[in-house]
Parts: sequence; structure tokens; C-alpha cells
Amino acid sequence: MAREIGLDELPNGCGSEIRAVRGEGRVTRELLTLGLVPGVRVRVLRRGIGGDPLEIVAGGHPVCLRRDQSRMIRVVAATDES
Amino acid sequence: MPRRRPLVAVLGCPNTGKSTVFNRLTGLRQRTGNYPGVTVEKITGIARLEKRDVELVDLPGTYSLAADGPESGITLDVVLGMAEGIPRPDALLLVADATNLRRSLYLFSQARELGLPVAVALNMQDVAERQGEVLDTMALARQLSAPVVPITANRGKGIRGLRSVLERLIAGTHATAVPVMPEVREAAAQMRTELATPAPEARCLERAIIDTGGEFERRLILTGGDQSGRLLETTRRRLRGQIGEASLQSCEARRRYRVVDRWLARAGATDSPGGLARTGRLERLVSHPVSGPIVFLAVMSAVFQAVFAWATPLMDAISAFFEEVGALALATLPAGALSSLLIDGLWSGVGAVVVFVPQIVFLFALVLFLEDCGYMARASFLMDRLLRICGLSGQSFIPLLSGFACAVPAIMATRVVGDRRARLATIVAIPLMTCSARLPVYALLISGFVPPAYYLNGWINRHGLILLGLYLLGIAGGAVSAFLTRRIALRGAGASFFMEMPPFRWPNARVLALKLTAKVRVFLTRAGTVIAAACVMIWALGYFPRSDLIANDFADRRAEVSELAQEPAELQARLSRLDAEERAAQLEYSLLGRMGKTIEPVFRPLGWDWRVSASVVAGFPAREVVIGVMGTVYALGSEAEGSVGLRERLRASRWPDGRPVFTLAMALGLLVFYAFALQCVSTVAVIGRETNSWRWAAGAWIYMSGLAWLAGMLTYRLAS
Repeated sequence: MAREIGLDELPNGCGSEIRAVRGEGRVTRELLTLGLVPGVRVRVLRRGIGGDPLEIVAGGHPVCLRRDQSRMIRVVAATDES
Repeated sequence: MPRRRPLVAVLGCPNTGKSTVFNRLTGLRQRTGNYPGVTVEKITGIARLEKRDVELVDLPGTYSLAADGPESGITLDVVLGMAEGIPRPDALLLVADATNLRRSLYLFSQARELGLPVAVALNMQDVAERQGEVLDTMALARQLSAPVVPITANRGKGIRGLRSVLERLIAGTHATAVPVMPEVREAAAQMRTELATPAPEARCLERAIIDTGGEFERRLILTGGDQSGRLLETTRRRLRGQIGEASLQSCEARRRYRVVDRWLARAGATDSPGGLARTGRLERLVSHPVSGPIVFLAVMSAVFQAVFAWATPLMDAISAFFEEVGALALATLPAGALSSLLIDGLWSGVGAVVVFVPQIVFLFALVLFLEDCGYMARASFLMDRLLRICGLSGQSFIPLLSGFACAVPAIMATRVVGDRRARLATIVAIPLMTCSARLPVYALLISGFVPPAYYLNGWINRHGLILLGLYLLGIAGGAVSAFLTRRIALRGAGASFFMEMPPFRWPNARVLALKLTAKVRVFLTRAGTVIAAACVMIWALGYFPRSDLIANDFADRRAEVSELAQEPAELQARLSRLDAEERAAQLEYSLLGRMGKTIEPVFRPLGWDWRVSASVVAGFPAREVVIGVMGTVYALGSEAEGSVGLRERLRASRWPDGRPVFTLAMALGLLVFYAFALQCVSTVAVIGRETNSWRWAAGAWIYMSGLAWLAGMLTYRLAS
């Protein structure tokens, strides 16, 4: 089983698969509701100035979120370049 | 008793065009109100179907029935018939975005479990078709076991079909869907029997079990106390074991999305090309860490340049028109309180509103254009980091920018800010942005009291530089205020920020025109009516009471002048001079004049005499009133109407000891006071409405008035 890392650790242009979304509160709920659920493929498109916020594509949809939020999203450490 | 009309609740994710569908179905037959205790607007309307009328209720946009505050709890309340004053709906209409169907179907998968028939309106069908996202709606309807109607609401396409679907939906029967979380449904049923206090609705209890820390958990513990809290915890622990997952929420979302993806796959949906189309050169240029900010600054400068270049001549023309017609009418109508009310009160009040329309139209047109073509989302992405320093979020950017036109629609636009604390801080910062109503006062004071100078071979003008400085001062004041608000009143974890990135696209002119009309309408109805009313009120305060002594004195002086009749032209000039002086004397005697004198000590540290104080006091309901009041207070005759005449008058005004009142230092202090003061009743009212708290409105007013006084005083002292 591959190691888990935070989505914020993925370099720009790299894709992976969501393993889990940490936490129980409102932010977790928002992330899950918007389709960032275990099993979905994500890719980091680009980052803002200073590496924050992140623009990602999850399940085919581009969204922005902050680094703190992306850290709660755990992805498979083995990434694919694209 | 006649049977009531069937009720249909309209729900959908934010930005799916839900309100447009609602408007298309109900037309003008709408009523608005408020749900008790929350800031959500309650909009109901009547839709005429073929055989009968149905009542529609428009629900706030939401991605999920899981709620994180009283506002988002409203959706489930209404749908379950628990909201005050609204019966349980007979059916649901879910408005979905055809270009982003996945999220809408997530909400559908929750809605279909509520035991009500649901119809799906696939909105923005034209855009979906243009993007090549064709979907077999018949197949989708079979998958969802619900009617699906493709529509394009902003063009009215498919609305007729939607009406007949609603007709059949209400008349027909439907099968109740199997829940995605059957374990939770069972557990909720069992928990209801175990609760010591009256149990909440079963569906609410399900949400309370799944959503840790959510609105329905809060309500359960509020009514049921510790016993319900303990019971909730045991139930959750048991369920986690039963399902074999660490998080019920994660399990629900995963299962629902699996169902949604299966529906979509069977309906022939292709994977969205979103990820591929987003690596274009334009995209890289505007989002790049280096070129992005450069493009941003260029776009913003272009916006403000355009607004100034286009709006200024129009505004000048409008104010000239209102002055000319007013002067003409004043000369024709018989003198007296009524004609004064009509001209000085009502007419100039309307003029004070209309004059701002060009700037508001141009700025909003550009903001809406940039928003619809997708650039604003990139700008918000770039600005998030900067705005976060002050406790705001990237989504605060559009409302803040709108604040440069008019704070009232701008504050209403803060609804897009997802995070509650960031939204409140945005509301506090907006009134400090330089709105169009501040400009006339800025123009008067800068051109009157700052000696002109040019730098860099005449390319840079000192007046322009000071104006820019005042804009930046407002932005800085907004930033500091938002920061302090987050530090003092709204402490807590950093705001969350979640925003969809729309693709770049060419905006639809009709849609833009509709949105622009809505913004201008908000200005005219919410702000304009109040400004006009304030003008009339200030006119009354400055007109009454009147002194017979002054009137008699001036009648004598007029007679004296007439007896010493010289040339008719000179006589006319001296008489109108006397008229202006009489108006000034009467104003000094009036309530407004007395208020100015009473309050003068308060403003003495800023170097203001009673005349300036009275004008500023008059500006508190609506800051644009100030110039008109100054015109009267400084006995500006109609022969020298306009800011040039007023400027000369202001320069000539003296303290009793002969020192000039208007010095550079005093004018700068007055400018700074204007930059910060919350002199707009409409803004205070809309803050109260949007925060649903008069404490916020009053707090903002007191804070900004204090800040204005302090900053004005410091500027005056430092510049003296």
C-alpha cells in the first residue's frame, strides 16, 4: 500500500488519487460535498503567489482552495506526471 | 375552506440560475419577506400552469442539505414543512447546472430521499451544448426516476415544458427512493424512540447523526441537552463500526458520488474536458505568479481609467441639467416654502441620485463583464493571499471592487463570500471604499484648496495625486478595519476559501444587461430613494423655523436698494445677492444652523466653524447633500451657481478674528474625514439587513464616525 501525503505536497502538474479527507468539521464537510471524496482523481494545476491558494482539478472540475484545506485531503504518494 | 394551492420548493446549488428559473415561472407575481431569526430572504411567487396555479418558494442556493448554520438549515426546514408560515411542499424543483451536473446531482440524491416528488430542470443547456457536453436527457430521467427538462432560463427556452412537467409532477404519484445511508435511517428511527425530549424530524435527526458539529446537531443538543448529546455519540460510534469507516460524512459523500457517477455514465455523459482546456496560454498568463499580478494591475487601471473617462462628462452634463432647470424653475415659480421644497428639496434630491448613475453603470458593467468572462475568478485567486492578511478571502474581491461604485449593492454582493467571518469583515471594509458619492466633495475641496502643481513635465498633476491618495487611504482604511474586525469581534481560525474556476468564455450580452439592470435597480431603489428622502429632510431642517425678524430686515434692505435705483442690471445683481444672504441668514436661524452651532465644539479640533459643522451634520443621512447645504450656508447666489462660485465663497469665509476658515490643513482634514465617515443611511440599513443585526450596523457607524473624526483631527494638526 502506497504512502499517504497531503494534497499540498503534490507539485504543480502532478495527479494522484484521494485516499481520505481528514477532520470532521465544516471545512471537511464542504470539501466532501464538493466532490473531493476518496477514490477521486485530483491534479494540482497551479499555485498562487507564495504557493497559496491551489488550483486543482478534481473529478474533471477546476476548483481553488487554500493550502490549509488541501492539507486535509490525503492522497496516494505515488504520483503521475502529466 | 378552499384547498390551498400546491406548493413547490425550488432548490439548487449556488450560481445555477435558480432565481432566473423562479422569475421565469412566476413573473411579477412575487412576494419577499424574511424567515424569522435568519438573514435569508424568503421569496415566494405564483406560477400559472395550464390547469392550475401553484405556489413557488425560492430556497437559498446550497450544495447539500447538510447545514452549518441557521441560514443553511432553512433549506431542510422549508422542504420538511418546519419553517414558520410555509406549509410542507407538495413537490421539489431542483435547478441543475447542465455544465456542472455532478454537484447538482449530489444535491438531487439527497433531495430524492425526502419522500417528495422531484423534477430536475437542466439549466444553461445552451452553454452545455456549445461546450459539446451532450447528454441523453431521457436516459438521465430514467436513471433518476424523475422528470428532467433541459432549459435555458435566461432566454426563456424550455420554460413551457417545465410548466407541464410541474403540472404532472403534482398530479401524479411517485416512488420513494431507497436511502444511500440505510444504516443511518434505521439508527435515526431507533434514536427517536430513545430520546427523552420530543424528537426532531427523522430527516433532521439523520443529518444530526452524520454531520458532526453541524446545525442539526446544535439544535438537537439545544433542545435535548446532555442526554441527546450522549445518545448521539453512542449512535455514531455504533454506526462507524457497522459501516466500517472512520467518518460517516466521508462515507455518505463517497456513496452519493458513486451513485451520481453511475447515473451520469449510464446517461452517456462524457468526462468533462475541464482539466485539458485549462492549460492554454491565456490561462497561464493571467494566473502566473509574475505575469498574473501585472495583468491584474493593468486590468484594474484600465477599469478605473475607463470609468472616469466615460462617466465624468456624463455626470457633469447631468448636474448642469439639474442646476439649470432648478434655477429656471425657481425664477418662474412664486417664491415661498412650496417652491423651495420642490426645487431645493425634491428636485435637487432627485438630481443628487441621478448624477451617480453613469459611474455606477460603467463600473458595474465592467465588473460584471470581467466576472462573466471568467477573469474575476482568476483575480480572486491572485488576491486571496493578500486579502487573507486582513482576514478576508479571495471571494471578497468582487464586492470590494463594487464598493467603488456604491456600497449598497456591494454589500449585497458579499453573499458569495462562503466564510461567515470573512463575509462580515468584508461588509465592514466596503463602506470605506471610495464610492461615487464621495467624488463631488473631493473634487470641490481639492480644486479649491490644494495649489495646483505638475510634476514630470506635466504628466502628473498634484490634484490627481491627492485624489489617488484618497482612494488608497480608503483601501488602507478598509484593510485595517477588516483586520481589526477579525482580531477583535470575529476571532477564530482563518477563513476557508473554496471557489470554482469557470472556463474563460465570451459573456452573453443579454445576461450582462439583465445583471446590470438588477444592480442599478438596487442602487435606485435601496439607496436612491433614501438619498432623495434625506435631501428633502435636510431641506426641511434648513428651512424651518423661519425668522420674521430676518425676513423684515431683508425686506427693508431690498426697499433701500431699490430706492437707490441705479442701472437695472446692477440692481438685479444686488437684489439676488440679498436673496442669497437672506437664505444664509435664515439657515443660520433654522434647526440645521442651530445644530451646526451646537455641535461646533465637537468639530473645533478639526478647525471647522459652525457652517462646516452644519454641512457635515447634514451629510450624515447621505453624504452627497453636503455640497448643496454648503451652497446655501455660504450664501451662494443663483448667479454664481456651480462649484466655482462655491469655491470662491469658501475661500472668503473667515473666523470672527479674521483668520480664514478654509486653510490647506483644514481642507485636507475635511477630505480625510470624508474618506472614512459612514455618511450614508442606506449603507447602515443594508449592513443591518445583511448581517441581520442592528448591533453590527450601529457598531460600524460609530466606529467609522470615530475613525473619521480622529483621522481628520490628526491630519489637521499635522498639516497646520
